[in-house]
Amino acid sequence: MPRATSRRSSRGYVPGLLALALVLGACGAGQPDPVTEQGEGLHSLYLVVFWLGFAIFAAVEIAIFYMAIRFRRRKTDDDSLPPQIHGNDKLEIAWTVIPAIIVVVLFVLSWIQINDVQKVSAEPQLTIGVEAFQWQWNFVYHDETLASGEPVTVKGALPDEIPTLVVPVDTLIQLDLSTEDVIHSFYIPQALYKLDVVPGLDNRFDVTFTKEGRFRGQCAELCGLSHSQMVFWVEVVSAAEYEDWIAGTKSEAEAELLATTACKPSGTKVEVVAKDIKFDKKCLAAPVDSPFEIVFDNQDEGIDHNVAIYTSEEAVTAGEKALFQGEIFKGVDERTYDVEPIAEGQYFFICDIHPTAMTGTFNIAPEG
Amino acid sequence: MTATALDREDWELPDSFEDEGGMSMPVMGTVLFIASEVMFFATLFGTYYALRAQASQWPPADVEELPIFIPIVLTAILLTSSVSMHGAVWGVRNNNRTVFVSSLAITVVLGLVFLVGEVFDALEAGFEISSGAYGSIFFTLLSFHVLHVTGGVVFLAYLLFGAAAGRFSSRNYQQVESASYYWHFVDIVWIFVFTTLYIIQ
Amino acid sequence: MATTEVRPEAPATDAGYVTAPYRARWFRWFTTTDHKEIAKMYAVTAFFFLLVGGTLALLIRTQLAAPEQTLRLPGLEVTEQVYNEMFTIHATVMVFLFLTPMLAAFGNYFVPLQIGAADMAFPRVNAFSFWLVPAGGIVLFLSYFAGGPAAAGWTSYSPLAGPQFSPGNGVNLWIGALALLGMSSTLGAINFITTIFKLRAPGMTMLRMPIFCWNMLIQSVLILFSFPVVTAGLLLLWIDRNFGGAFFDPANGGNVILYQHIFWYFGHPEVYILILPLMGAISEIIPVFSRKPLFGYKAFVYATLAIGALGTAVWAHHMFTTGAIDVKFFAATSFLISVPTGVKMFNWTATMYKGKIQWSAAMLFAIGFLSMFLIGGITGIFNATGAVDSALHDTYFVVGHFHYVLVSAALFAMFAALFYWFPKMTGRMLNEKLGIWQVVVLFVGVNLTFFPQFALGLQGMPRRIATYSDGLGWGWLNMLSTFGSYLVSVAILLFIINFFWARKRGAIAGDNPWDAYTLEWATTSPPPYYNFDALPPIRTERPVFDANHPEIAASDEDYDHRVSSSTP
Repeated sequence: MPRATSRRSSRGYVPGLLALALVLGACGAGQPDPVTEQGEGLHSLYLVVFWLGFAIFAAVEIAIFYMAIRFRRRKTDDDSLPPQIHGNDKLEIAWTVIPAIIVVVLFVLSWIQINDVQKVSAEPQLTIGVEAFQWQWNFVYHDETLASGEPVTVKGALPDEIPTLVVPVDTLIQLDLSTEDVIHSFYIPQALYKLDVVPGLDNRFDVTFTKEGRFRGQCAELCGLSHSQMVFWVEVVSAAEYEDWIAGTKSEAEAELLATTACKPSGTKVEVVAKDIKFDKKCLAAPVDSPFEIVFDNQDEGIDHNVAIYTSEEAVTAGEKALFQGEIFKGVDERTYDVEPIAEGQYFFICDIHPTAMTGTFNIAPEG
Repeated sequence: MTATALDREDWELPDSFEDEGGMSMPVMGTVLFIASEVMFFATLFGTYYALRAQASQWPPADVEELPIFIPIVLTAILLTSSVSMHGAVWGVRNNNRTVFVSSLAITVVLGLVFLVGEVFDALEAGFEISSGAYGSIFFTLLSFHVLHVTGGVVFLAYLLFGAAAGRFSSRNYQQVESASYYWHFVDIVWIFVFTTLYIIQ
Repeated sequence: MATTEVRPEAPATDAGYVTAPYRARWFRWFTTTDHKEIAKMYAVTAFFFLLVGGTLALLIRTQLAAPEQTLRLPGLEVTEQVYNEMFTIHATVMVFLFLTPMLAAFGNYFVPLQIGAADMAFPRVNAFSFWLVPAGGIVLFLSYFAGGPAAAGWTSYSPLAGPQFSPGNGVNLWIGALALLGMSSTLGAINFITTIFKLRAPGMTMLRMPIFCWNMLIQSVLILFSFPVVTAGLLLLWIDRNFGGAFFDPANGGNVILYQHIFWYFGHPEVYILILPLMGAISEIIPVFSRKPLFGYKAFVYATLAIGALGTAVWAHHMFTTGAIDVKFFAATSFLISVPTGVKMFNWTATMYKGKIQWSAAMLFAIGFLSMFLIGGITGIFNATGAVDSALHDTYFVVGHFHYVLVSAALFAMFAALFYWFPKMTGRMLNEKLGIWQVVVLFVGVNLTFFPQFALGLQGMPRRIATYSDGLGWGWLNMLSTFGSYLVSVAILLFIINFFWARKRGAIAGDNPWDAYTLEWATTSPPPYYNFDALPPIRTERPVFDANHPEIAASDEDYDHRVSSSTP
C-alpha cells in the first residue's frame, strides 16, 4: 500500500523516535532510580506503562502523519471525490476490544502495585512521626526517648533550618503523617512515592530504603505562602551509623535540655552575668530549703539590670508579685543578692527592665 | 473543490421550527432546571450523610432532640399545597377559571404559611450554624429549602396576578405547568429535609 | 479556490423570513438575543480573557525560567504571595473565562445553524447566560482592589481556602465569580439541550445530527449534572468562611476530604466539558478536508456517550494520594475511559484513509490536535494506574499532562474551528499562508513548553512552587519551557493579525467555501437574522453534501439503506 513517496517522508521520523526512546530508556525512561523497596515495584510498573504507551504513541502518531501525508491532495488531482467510506463495524469492534484488553492487563498490574504500596505493617521495625506545618517539617522518633520522656525530634524552621530525616538502610520504617493546619504532601521523588498529610486523617505508609545516601524531599500539595520552601532531606545510613546518630542526637538534646531547663544545683552560690542585654545562662539552679546568694555581674555599661524570680512566665505577664526581686543597678557593676529559701519547683527568672529579652528557668531542687 | 451550482428546487423552510411532540419548550427548560437543582440538593444531602457517617455521635451530645410536631404540621401543609397546585393545573387545563384561580390562591397562602412556620421553627432550635458540623448542615439545608420555597411563592404569586387578569387558558398554560413542576419538586425536597433532619436525626 | 455560487437575495417577503428589529448599533450589543451575535460576544470576551490568562502564564513561566529568582518588573515583584495569586487566577481565568465561554461561542453560533433552527430555544436566557460571564470576570478581578485575589489554587482546597488560612476577600470573591459563571454555564446547558431536542429541522433525526451537536449535547448534560454540585460545594466553603460553618473543619466535626470529593465530582467532568465540543469541531473538520464522510459516525456517538457516562465516575483519581479513597475503583474507571477516547482517535485517523486531504490551515490545525491529544491521553494512562501516580501526582508531569490536553490540543482544535468557521461567521476567509505559519509556530511552541515539564515532573519538581533550588538540574528544562511559552504567544499574535487582516481584506467566502457538509453551509455567510430562507431535504448526516453531490448520493450503495435505517 505505501508507495515510495510516503516511505521517504516517514524515513526520518522513525529513527528519530527510536533515538529518543533509547535516550529515555537509558536513564530509566526519565524516572530517577528508586531507592526504596516499594519504589522498585512502582518503577517496574512505570517502565511497563512507559514502553506500552510509547509503542501506542509511536504507532498512532505514525498512522496520523502517514495518513495526512500519503493521502494529501496533490496538484495533479482532479476534483473527483474519493470513495465515500462510512465505517467498518469489524474495525470498530477491534479497536474497542484490543485497547480494552490492554487496559485490563494494565489494571491488574496496577492492582498488584497498589496493594504493595498500601500495605501498612502492624509491626514496623521503626516508626517515625512526620509532623507537617506551615511551612516546615518535624520528624519525631517515637522509639527513642530522652530522660525527660520526650521523643527525639528533628525540627525544621523557615527560612534556613532544613530538617534531615535520618533512617537506617534495609529497615521497614513506618512514617506516621500528621498536621494541625492545612493539607501537605510528603514527597520523596527518589522513593517514587508521596502521601498527603491531611488534618483529621491518620495517614501512614511503610517504606524500606535499600540504598544509602542523601535524598531530597519536598511538600507536594499547595499549603500556602511558602509552600516552595517546604524542603527536607532524607539521609539513609547503615544501622551502625544510625545508632551513632541517635546516640549523638540524644546526648546533644540532653545537654541542650540541661543548659536550658534541666540544670541542677551545685552549692548555694549562683553566678550569672548580663551582657549585651542577655543573660549568659538560660538556666539557673539552687538547693531546696536553704538560703542562697546570687552573684550578679552587670557588664552593660550604663544600662539597668536586675534578677527577679517569678513562679512562671504567665505570672510575669499577669503582673504577679515576684518571689524575689533583686536591686536594679547600672553596669558595669556587681551585686550579690541574698535570697530566702524557696520551695522545690521550676521557676522563671527575668531582668525586670528587659522582661522579654532576658529570661530563663530557675530550678529549686535537692542538691546532688 | 468546485461547488456545483445548487439545485435548490426541493429546498423549503418548514412552517414551524419547533418539534411539537412531547414536552413544550418552557416545560422542558423547567424540567432541566429542576434536574440541576436536584444535583444541588443531592450535594447538600450527600454532605449531611458524609458528616453524619464520620461523627462519633450524631446529633452531638449538646443538641437537644428536636420537637417534631411543628414539622409534621408543615409537611401536611406543603403536601396539601401540592394537591391544590395540581388542582390549579387541572383547572386551567379544563378552562375552569374558578377552580384555577382559587386553587392557585390556596397554594400561595399555604406556601406563605409554610414559610412562616419553617423560619419560626428553625429559629427555635437551640443551636446555631456556627456550632459545629451538625449545626452547619442543619441550617444550610433548611435555609436553601426556605430560599427555594420563597422563589416558588413569588413565582406563584406572579402567576396568580396573571390568572386574575385572565392571562391563561387551556391553550396557554405552560407557565402554570412549569410552576407546578417546580412546586412539586420543592415539596419533594421538603420530604427529604423533613425525613433527614427530624425523623432520622 | 474555485468560485462558489452566489445565491440571489433571499425573498424578504417570504413567510419564513424574518428581519432583525432595528436598534442603534451600540445599543444592539447590549440588547441582542440573536444567537450569532451572542456567540460573537462570547468569542470576543473569551479571547480577551485568553490574553489575560496568557499574560499571567508568561509571567509565571518567566518567574520559573531560572532557579532561585524573584522576577522584578516595573510595578511588579513576583513574591511568593504574588506567585500563588498568579497561578490561581491564571487557572481560573483559563478554565472559566476563556475556554468555557469560547466553547459556548462555538455552540451558540453553530448548534442552531447545524440543526436548521432559527435561534436557540430561549434567546433571552441565552443573552442572560452571556452577560453573566463578564459579570463573573469583573467580580473575580475586583479582588485585586479588595485586598488581593485568592491564592489557594483554582481548586481552593479547604482548610487552605478556609477562614483561618485565607482571610480577606480574595476567596470570597473567587467563590462569587464561580457561582455566577456556573450559573451561566448551567443556563446555557439547559438552553442547548432544549434547542437540540425541540428545534431540529424536519428530517434531522438524532442520528443525522452533526457530531458537533452531539458533543454539545453530551457536554451540556455533563454541565447540568456537575456545575450545581460545585456551586453547592463552594457555598459550603462560603458558609465556613463567613458564617462560622464547620463543613471542612476537622476540629468541629467537619471533613477535609469531603471538599475534594465535591470539587472533583465537578472538576473531572469539567475536563470533558472543555474538550468534548472541540472534539466535535474536529469531527466536522477532518471529514470535510478529507473529502470523505466521518468514519464510524455511530461509533463516535456511542464513544461520546460512554465518555460522558464514565466521566462522572472517575473524579477521585485526582485524590489518589489522599489516602482516603478506594484507589483501585477509580483506577479501573480511569483506565476504562481511555477506551472510548481511543475509539475516537482511531476513527479520526481512519477518516483520513484514502481521502484527498486538503492541507488547509484548518486541517493542519486538526492534525495538530490529533497529535497533541494523543500525548495528553497517553500520559494520562500513567496517572490512571493509581500506583505510578504516587510519584507523578502534583508534579510537573501532571501539569504537562493536562496542559497537553487543555492547551496544546485545545488551542489546536480551537484554531482549527476558527479557521473552518470564520468564513461563515464573517463572510471572509482568514489568510491561509499566515495560518500555516501559525500552525508551525504553535506546534513548536506548545511542545517546547510542555514536553520538558514531563521530564521535570519525573525528576520530582512539584507544581505550584514559586521557585526551586539551584543545583537540581531543573534550570535548563524550565528555560526551554519558558521559551516555548513565548513562541505560543507569538502564534496567538499571528492569529490576531490574521483576524484583523481578514476582517478587511480576506477573500469573500461565499456560502460554502469548503464544499462542507452540514446545514450551516446552506445559508449565506454570515447567515441572516433567523438563519435560513430554505433548507435542503435532510436524509443523512450530510444534507448539504447530498444537495451538492447528488451523483454521489445516487451511486452510494449504502445511501438508501442509511436513509431508511436512520428514519425515526
